[in-house]
Amino acid sequence: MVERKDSTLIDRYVWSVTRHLGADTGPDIARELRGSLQDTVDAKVEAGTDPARAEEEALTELGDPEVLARQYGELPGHLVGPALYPEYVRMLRALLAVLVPLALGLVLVEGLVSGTGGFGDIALEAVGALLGVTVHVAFWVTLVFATVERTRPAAERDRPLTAWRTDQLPAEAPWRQVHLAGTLVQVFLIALVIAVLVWQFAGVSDPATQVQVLDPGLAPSWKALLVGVLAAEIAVLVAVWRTGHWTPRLAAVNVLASATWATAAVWLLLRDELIAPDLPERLGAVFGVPADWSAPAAPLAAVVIAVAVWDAVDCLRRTRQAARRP
Amino acid sequence: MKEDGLLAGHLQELRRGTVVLACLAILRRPHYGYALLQTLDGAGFSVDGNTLYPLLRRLEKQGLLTSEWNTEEARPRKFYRVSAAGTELLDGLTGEWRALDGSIRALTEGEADG
Repeated sequence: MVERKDSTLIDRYVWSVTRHLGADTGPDIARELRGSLQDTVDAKVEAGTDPARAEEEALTELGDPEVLARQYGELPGHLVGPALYPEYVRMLRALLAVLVPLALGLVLVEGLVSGTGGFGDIALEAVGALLGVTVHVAFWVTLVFATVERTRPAAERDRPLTAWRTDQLPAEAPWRQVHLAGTLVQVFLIALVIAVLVWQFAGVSDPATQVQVLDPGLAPSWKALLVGVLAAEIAVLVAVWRTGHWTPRLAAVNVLASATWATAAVWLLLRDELIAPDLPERLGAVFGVPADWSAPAAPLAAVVIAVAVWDAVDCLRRTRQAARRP
Repeated sequence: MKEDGLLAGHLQELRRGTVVLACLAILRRPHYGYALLQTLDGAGFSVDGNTLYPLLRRLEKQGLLTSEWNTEEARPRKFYRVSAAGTELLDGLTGEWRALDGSIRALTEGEADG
């Protein structure tokens, strides 16, 4: 039999297991656990193991006291269990999908209305809002679900909160490749570029506060080409949305439009015809920055080519994906 | 080697529910925790203490077991035995076990004939 004074490891183990259990069960479990451990040690010693080693083996076999305590207390060993997890993810998605665009929209509107601070300030504020909203939503939703997981009866822990119903199935047909929201965002972005182009090509109304970046003296046929090709890309996006997926014909039109736009833009950039020749002076006049630089044509051309290649690769990839679908 | 792991995993899955049945059957006579662990082990049910000891508490809380401290010997021990409700559950589980055995037998032998 192991002497009491040798049992400090067992004492510490039993205390670790039972210290967070209620006063009604804790002491009783401690007494029983101590007995069971001593029985195990005795059996090992009888089989010829050294007493100190036997004690260590007995404790190692029972394992992490935290895990054992959770089993005695019937507490979950996870934050959000598999039964709640799908609802947890749905809740996170739904809240983020509404609150993130809302917060970004509010920041942009506020920045535009107040008119103070440059583009950099607004972008910084937008990033701050994005992070803040995401972290807050994730934290509070997790907290609520973890609390629910811990407060409902152990017998119900393998069941979801609300039973799944068929009307939770997505309303859209399974073969749909592009969605309304994504299409709207893309169309909006291209429309924004068109608006900026038209505004710049027409010549800014107030050179004291607005910067003439593009050269308004560009030939009208070039202006029409750059704007018209973008309009064609919008038409392609709408057609893809109406079909539900990319087709080889739409992809071909899109790649052709992309390539045309990029070729024209790069051609004009490299011939120094697209960017207003007096851009540094005009920027300096509006923002009060030094004008001792020239517009970096080559890097801009590289960006234009990169965007065009990415657009072409993406639409071809999606076309192949759609073609493989039964 | 991989096949052995696969078999071990499925066997563990198959045996999981049988521990309660085996416990209730053994505890028709009173046992304390460690002795029950030994008896189970001897009968071919290798259960870890960290599974069995909390399980006994849970079954007691569900009213399937009753317990009593025996302090007559040098080391006080908590003895468990099945309650009336536990006996009823044991009968139910045993019946289910036999029915399952019959069903599996019918399935596998039917397969052999076909």
